[in-house]
This record gives sequence, C-alpha cells and structure tokens, in this order.
Amino acid sequence: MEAADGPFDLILFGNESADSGGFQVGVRVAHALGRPIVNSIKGIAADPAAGTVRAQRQVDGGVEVYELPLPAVLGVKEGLNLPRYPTMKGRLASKKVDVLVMEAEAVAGGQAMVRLIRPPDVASTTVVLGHGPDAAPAVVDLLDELGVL
Amino acid sequence: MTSILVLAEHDRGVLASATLEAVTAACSLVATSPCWSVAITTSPAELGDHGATTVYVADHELLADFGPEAWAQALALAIHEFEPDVVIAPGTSKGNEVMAGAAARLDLPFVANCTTIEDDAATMIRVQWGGSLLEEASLDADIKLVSIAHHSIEASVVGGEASSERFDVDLDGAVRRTIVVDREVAETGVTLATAPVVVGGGRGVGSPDAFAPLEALAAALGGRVGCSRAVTNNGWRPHADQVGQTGTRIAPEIYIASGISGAIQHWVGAMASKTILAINTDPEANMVTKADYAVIGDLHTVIPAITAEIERRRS
Repeated sequence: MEAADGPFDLILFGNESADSGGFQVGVRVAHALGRPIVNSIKGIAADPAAGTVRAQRQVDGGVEVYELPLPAVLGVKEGLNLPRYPTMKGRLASKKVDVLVMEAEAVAGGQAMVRLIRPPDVASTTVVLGHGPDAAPAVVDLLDELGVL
Repeated sequence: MTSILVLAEHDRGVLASATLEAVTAACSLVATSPCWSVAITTSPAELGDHGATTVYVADHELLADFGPEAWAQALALAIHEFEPDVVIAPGTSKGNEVMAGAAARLDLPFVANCTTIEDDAATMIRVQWGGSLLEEASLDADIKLVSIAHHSIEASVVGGEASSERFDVDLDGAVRRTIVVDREVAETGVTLATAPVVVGGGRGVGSPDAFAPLEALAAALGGRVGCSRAVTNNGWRPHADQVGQTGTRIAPEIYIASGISGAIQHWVGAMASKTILAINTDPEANMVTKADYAVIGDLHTVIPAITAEIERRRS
C-alpha cells in the first residue's frame, strides 16, 4: 500500500486481540518498518508541523507521556475514545468500498494451538450474608475477619 | 540442563510484582537448573530470594527510564549473549511489549500470557479471551520466549541469593525516540491495581453522583473505587477506573462488586481478587453466583449501611 501511495505518517494497531491476545503484531510490523512504536496508548495528539506525535500510556497511578517522531506506530487500548455509531449513510457507503485482500504465508514452526480448554467452573458456593441494609453487621464481620477493617 | 533468562520489569528501580511470578515460573520449570535474570538497573535481592541465581544488571543511560525499544534491544542483546534455552517475561503490558520487541529483533516466536509452561516451554497453557478460555499450545523454536499471565501463579520465596553481574549493553541511540519524556501523576498512595480493597460499581449505581457512597466506603477501608465497562461507556467514570479485560486487573484482599451483573470481560479483570462480595438486587446475577459472599439488596441502601456500621464500631 505504501509502495503505491507513499508512507503512512501514523499507523495504529489494537494493543492485542480480544481472543488470542498475542501482544506482538504491531511491535513486529513497526520493527520490520524500522519505525518507533509504543503500546498501551490511551491518548494521542499528533503535531504534523513538528513531525511528532505525543502519546499517553496509562500506568498504575498515572500517565506516561511519549513523544515519537513521525512516521510512527502506536498500539492503542480501549478507553482511547468512545467510537461513534456509524450513520446509516456511512453504513451504506461502506458496502461500496473495495476491501483490499492480501494473502499471507504462514511460517512453519513457532507457536501452534493444540486445543482450547474450558477453565474449571468457579466453585459457586456463594454465602449470602443477608438481605438489604440489615446485612451490614455481617459484612463488617467479614471485613474484620479478612483483616481489612 | 536448561538455562532460563527472566526479564525483570521495574519502574525506575521499583520491581514489578509480576517479575517475581515470572521468576517463580522459571524455577518451577527446572528445579535444579540455573535461573538467570536480566535486570535493567535494579537491586537483585528480591530476585534471588525468589530463586534467581545470577542477576545481570544492564546499566545504561538509555535504560534509566522505560522505553520499549531500548529495553527490547537490551533484552535481545542479553539473549544473544547468554543463549538461554527459555526466556520468561512478566505478562504485563510492558513485559509483553518488551518481549515482542526482542522477539522481532531476533526473529523468534513469542507466546504471551501462559499460566503453566512444561517440557522446557515446548508446551504450555495460555489464556485466551482475557482468561475466560484457556489454550493448550506448543512452541517450536531454538530459544523459547514466553510470558506469564499476571496473577496466574503466586510468587514464592525460596530463600536463595543471587550474584549480581554487570552486563554492558551497546544501545543504538535511535531507541531514545520511545523513552518516557513526561509523567502525569493522577494519584498518590494506593492505586486500583494495588489497593487491598476495591469497591466496584456497575450500571446499577445509576449516575456519576451516586458513586459518592462507594467513594466513602472505599475511603473508610483505605481502598479504591473501580467500575464496569457500562459505567465508563456512560461517561460516569474515567476509563482509568475500569476493572476488566481491557481495563485494570485487580487482586485485592476483597472486591466489593455492587450493581455489577458480572459480564465475562469484567469477571476476568476481577477474578484474581482473594475474596469477592457481590451486592445486587438480582440473586441470579453472574457476579452473585460466582462471588464468595453476597448481599441481596439495593446497593444504594446497603453500602451506606456498611460504612455506618464501620464508623459505629470504630467510635
């Protein structure tokens, strides 16, 4: 695509897939392209004039800020924004868009799935401490027992 | 004899707890083999205590703060230098990112978020769908790169001592482009990921203002408020408060989940909690049936009653 239309200034990847969660496609593509990448991004502010993009990564207790030179690659996480629902017009227009399909060859060896396993059910012996506000003393007894009071 | 290299993740010298889980996993893989650890400027004492035999300290100006490219290059250099059979990283956001970068540099496969590894990491169980499904996988590679899903195993102290060796790395100056340049500290003290108590609220809370009693209960217990995706999608709380597959994974002593139905994506973020107490009007809600304890009732009356009871006992 870049050979035909020139390089992308910014390429965004989802941080990981929701299902298999490999955590590496974006990083490998960025490395192959020789471009910088930072993962787990929840805020982006590009400054094309300065040729940079500022990216925010949420970490426990705060935010880390990175400033990457363009062209760059970012792995983004849910929480970056709230996607808008597509309009009917947009949905109709999307049906006419050509979807570029490329074949990829799988490399032999490496990681392979043997089978999927359903995790053992959580033992569901819920102890009901009570109903409504009357349960408060039993809850506080539990907190005391757990040593968090 | 199998040699294992563990990536020691830390934040400006403070070791990430997930690193100790990774060291424990390494020790369980081969009880009698050397377990090396590559640390990027941090103290080896805790690593040795958990079973690492040698800690290689990569000391470099470009490694003082986190930069995924700098760390990945350092790890790739360490793998190249020490030629371990297996490399293990903590399955955290940064651990997986650094390992993926090292894997790309060395053109090796990398299997993320394993819960168990066997046969010198030729076979493993790993998490799918954030932990709601498991996958048995195999790995065929000269050097096997894996990460350990955070909270999937408990770090254990074996009481050893690690020797510390300096590991000189020659880093490409270009890696500077992805080093942290600034920080915004949102909160000090206890955080959602480390809080001993998390008070969670879901759709049942009803509005942003209705989180005040949850805040009061969390404050009384030195904890934090978390929430479900329904809450952040409604704009009631920031995404930073979201507990779940795509939010924060918590592991408190007790998680008090109120007005939360317990969708699987939320559950996988909360399931490492040591105890779960659900407060819900619906006794059939997923969160209630999976919880250790439950109170059936309206969180709007139950939570203030709990806070009042705590205050009464303390006075």
